[in-house]
Amino acid sequence: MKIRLLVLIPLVLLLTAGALTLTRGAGFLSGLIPGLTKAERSFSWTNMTGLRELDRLHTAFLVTPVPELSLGLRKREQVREKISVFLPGSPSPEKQIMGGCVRVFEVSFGYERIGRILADPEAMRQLCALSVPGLPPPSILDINGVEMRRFGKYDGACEEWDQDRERLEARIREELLKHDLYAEIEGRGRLALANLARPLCKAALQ
Amino acid sequence: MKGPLPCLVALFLLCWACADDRAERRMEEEIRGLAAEYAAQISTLAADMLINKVYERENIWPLSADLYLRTDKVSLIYGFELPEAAISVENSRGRKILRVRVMNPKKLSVNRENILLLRNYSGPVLETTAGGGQRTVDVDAEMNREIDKADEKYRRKHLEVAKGNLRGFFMVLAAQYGLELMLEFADAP
Repeated sequence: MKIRLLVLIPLVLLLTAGALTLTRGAGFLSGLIPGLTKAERSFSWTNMTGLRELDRLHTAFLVTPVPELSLGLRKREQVREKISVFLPGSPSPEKQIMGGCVRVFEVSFGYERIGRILADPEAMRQLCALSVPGLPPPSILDINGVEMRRFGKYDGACEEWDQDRERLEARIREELLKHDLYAEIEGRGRLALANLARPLCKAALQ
Repeated sequence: MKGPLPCLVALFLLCWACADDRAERRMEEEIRGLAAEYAAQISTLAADMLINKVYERENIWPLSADLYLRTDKVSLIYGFELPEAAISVENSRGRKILRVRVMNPKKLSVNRENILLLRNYSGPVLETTAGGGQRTVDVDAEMNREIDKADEKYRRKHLEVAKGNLRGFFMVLAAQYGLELMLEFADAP
């Protein structure tokens, strides 16, 4: 009985250990070697090729009106201007908004083909060496015109969308700069890029 | 089968399995640390809107309307709450898995700020109605209605984008650690 028990206990232990090893897979020794974590041992840029499928990192979405305004003198200012001819030294009236055309755009900002950058050790070395403000700014990924409306007395054409992408991007940027929004969007984009790339920087800079 | 050999073999294999478990837990801690440090900004998406309102009414001077033009900057913040327990490293039939279970993203906050106000008359904001009469406009209430409409219109898109960004972040971590990513989005209980 005692001998049977002596055989049975190791057998049960052996089977338990076997089962554990089967469910936990290979590569156990890493845990036994002090100072060598599995992360460091298993890191390889070849693992990163799967990231190429990562297409875009969206960092901001914006709905923005882009107004074109007509300025001029209203009737009472016109009268005042005519009177001012007879009153030397009186200030000439300021031009007022007479009307305008507002086009509303949906704009998304971010980085294209981000996976290719992350999977490329050289690109990552360059990226990781930069501080957050030095990172490339996000670009305009999509622009979609959603609404246009005319108001007041506006003489220009309001019924057409500008098909020139570069001019349209410049006009949207100008509008965002006017409202201090562009720096905010750029800063937020750079930070998102940094946060996505930083976990890889230790390996990239080695 | 007599002797100490089976016992030693069993003990060795047990230690081996335990050590492997310890390595996984260490990896899990590292990934949780990286997620805590870097995922917060990635997992939120700010949708900004410049909401523009224009009101006009005819004044006593023909052909020169009274105009009121106002623009507010509105930021709708969508994102995830990412508790530490949502991230685990598991071993399933020899496959090393980075399992991330997060609640579906939601709208976290709304910020609104007036950035432009142009008007060429004073007094209450009046609008000429379709019938030719005039009505007083509560511009703030109109702005709030616009925000609700925009949220309704874009919410699904924003939440999908937020999910995509978070997926990208964990894909990077999984690739770095040689793990297979299983990212699950669940509805809040």
